[in-house]
Amino acid sequence: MAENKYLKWLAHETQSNWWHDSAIPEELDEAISNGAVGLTTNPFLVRTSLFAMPGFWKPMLKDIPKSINPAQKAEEIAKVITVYLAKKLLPIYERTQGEQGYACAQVNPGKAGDADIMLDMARRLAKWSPNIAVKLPVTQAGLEVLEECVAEGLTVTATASFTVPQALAIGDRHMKGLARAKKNNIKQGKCFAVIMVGRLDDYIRDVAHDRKASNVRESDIIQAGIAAIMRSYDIYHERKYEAILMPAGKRGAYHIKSLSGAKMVMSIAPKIAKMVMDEKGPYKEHMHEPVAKDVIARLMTIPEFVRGYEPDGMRPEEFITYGVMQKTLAQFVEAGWGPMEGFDL
Amino acid sequence: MTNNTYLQWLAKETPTRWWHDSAIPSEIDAALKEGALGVTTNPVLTFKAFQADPGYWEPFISNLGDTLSFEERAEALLKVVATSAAKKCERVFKETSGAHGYALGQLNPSNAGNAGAMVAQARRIHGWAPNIAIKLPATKAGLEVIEQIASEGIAICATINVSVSQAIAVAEKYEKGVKKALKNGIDPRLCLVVQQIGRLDDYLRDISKDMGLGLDESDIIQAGIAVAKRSYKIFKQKKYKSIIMPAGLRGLYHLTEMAGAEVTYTLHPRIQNMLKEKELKKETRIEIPVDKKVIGRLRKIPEFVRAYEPDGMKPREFIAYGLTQKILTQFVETGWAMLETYGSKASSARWT
Repeated sequence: MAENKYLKWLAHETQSNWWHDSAIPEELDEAISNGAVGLTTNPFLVRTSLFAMPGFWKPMLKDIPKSINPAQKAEEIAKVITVYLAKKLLPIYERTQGEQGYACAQVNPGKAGDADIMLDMARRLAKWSPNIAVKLPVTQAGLEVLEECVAEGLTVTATASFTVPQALAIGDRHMKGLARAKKNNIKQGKCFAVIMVGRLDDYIRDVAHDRKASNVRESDIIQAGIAAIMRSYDIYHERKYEAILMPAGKRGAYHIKSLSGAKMVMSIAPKIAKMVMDEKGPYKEHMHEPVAKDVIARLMTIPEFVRGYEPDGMRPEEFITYGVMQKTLAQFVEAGWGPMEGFDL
Repeated sequence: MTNNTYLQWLAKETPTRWWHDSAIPSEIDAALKEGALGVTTNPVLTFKAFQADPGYWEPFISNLGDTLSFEERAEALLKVVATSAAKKCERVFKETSGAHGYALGQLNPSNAGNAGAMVAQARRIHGWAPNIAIKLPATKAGLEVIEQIASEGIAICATINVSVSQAIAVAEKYEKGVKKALKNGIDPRLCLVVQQIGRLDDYLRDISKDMGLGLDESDIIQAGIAVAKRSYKIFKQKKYKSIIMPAGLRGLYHLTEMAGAEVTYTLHPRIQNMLKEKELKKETRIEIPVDKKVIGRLRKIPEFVRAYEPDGMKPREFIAYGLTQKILTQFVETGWAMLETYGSKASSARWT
């Protein structure tokens, strides 16, 4: 297994932690050896693993009845794969007394507006293993479910989240859930608040090209997601939110390095882990270097960035309509959940 | 031969026409016999055609070799299916003097914001056959391309169009392009404006649920129709030359509500089969507006207002509209991205 000194440094010498971002067992083993303390699966990653190594998974899927309906089939497949991977993290979960060692399990991405269906499903997923973090989309409906889950003592990861207003809504609803749990003497569930930094960049890039925003450079665009998460981080600190920010959807080493040292949990795919492998030491934390003001000023000429960057840039009912939200949900459905529903058992 | 009396009635007694919405050769043949006047191929339908009968396409695909880039490969595969469909439509193309009888060649949906890349690809695809129309998204960049290629005498089908303001913007750009073409002695070609009916309903259903509005399903399924009827009325008033193409039908009501309109439907085989199983009232309904009370309730959803009002969105907002991103992603994930690696050993370089 290849050693990744940079990620080991990040995990052991800084306040940052990192989780592995793929559902391929061997890749998870390698990540754990390099300091990963959790796993962020989603329907797309589970599907990728299923189709990459069907011979490995098929024997474990043999008990799923052929007559099952498509949505149940997708859920059962996700369960088998997630439970297998979650086991590898149980020692970390036990050693850290539930601080780390989680595996994410995501609700059906086709139901992002349906609180009732998501809540039922969240309760089922939470029972798969003691160390499941239930993954929910940050729509108005998803936030409702998030608060409810936390009130019931579940640990959650809030995903399909790209913006400051979404991050703040997560932090707020987590606190509300915690208060309710406390009142009822229920254990305090953790909350990991994703911001998909690279996906925001990709979206802003398309929008900027479409409107011919020639003043906005590529070097600005690749800082859009970082700007959003850094702003969220500062406000979390001010408001004493207990949710932990999780930068995800990284596109290059810069997405790790510029946030290094922050008290965040980074979600890192194998492709990105490789990119920091050859970093030369001594390594340095960059978290305290803010995104330059002129970069922000140029990005602010794009209304979609303003909606994502200003704390009140969107109301919760707008989250589901934000372009990159629909893009991401559609990808989870079309390249993840849908193919699992159609998988030939 | 045919037992689809509703479609026969539409064709004989009304100005409503229809094209076939699948790329599977045997289905195209059957639809042409039933009176379809064109085929609306796209990357998703192309991939489905390969999956339906890999053996049939194998000889064409093995010819391509292994040296193509991702985009070149997807485009070459699209060409195989689009030119095969276009050939089947040649007779209709001649008989209608180019008013019908097309197959569509869709531009890379990943370039929806990139006018330069889209123009270059449109010119390449235009060269595939005389009866290929270029399918491209109604984004701000797409609108620029529409004016340009209309002026070059290239046939157009504007897709990912979900709102009245997009439909008007497409029609206006097309008129400008046609004017330029005529000035330069170029024969203008047709422009179809897809109106995504069922997809708008689906999108608004999710939002209504998320907002906790509790709108009845009977309201939701009139949203797309309301938008299409409004676009149609404006097209008639302004005498636009573009033809509206209602698409993404979820049920027969999506067809019957526009019956009698001068539009060209695109009908999936599933809808064609539904028509065979049900006796429908043969009645023109295009002039009958959607109930004002229904519109009033739908207006509680801001995303409906943006889609329904003629000035609901500015062109630079089109690409950011949630449903635009959803459809683009579907075209990429279940179509274009699959074609990039279909039949080759390469694995996708796309981000997850």
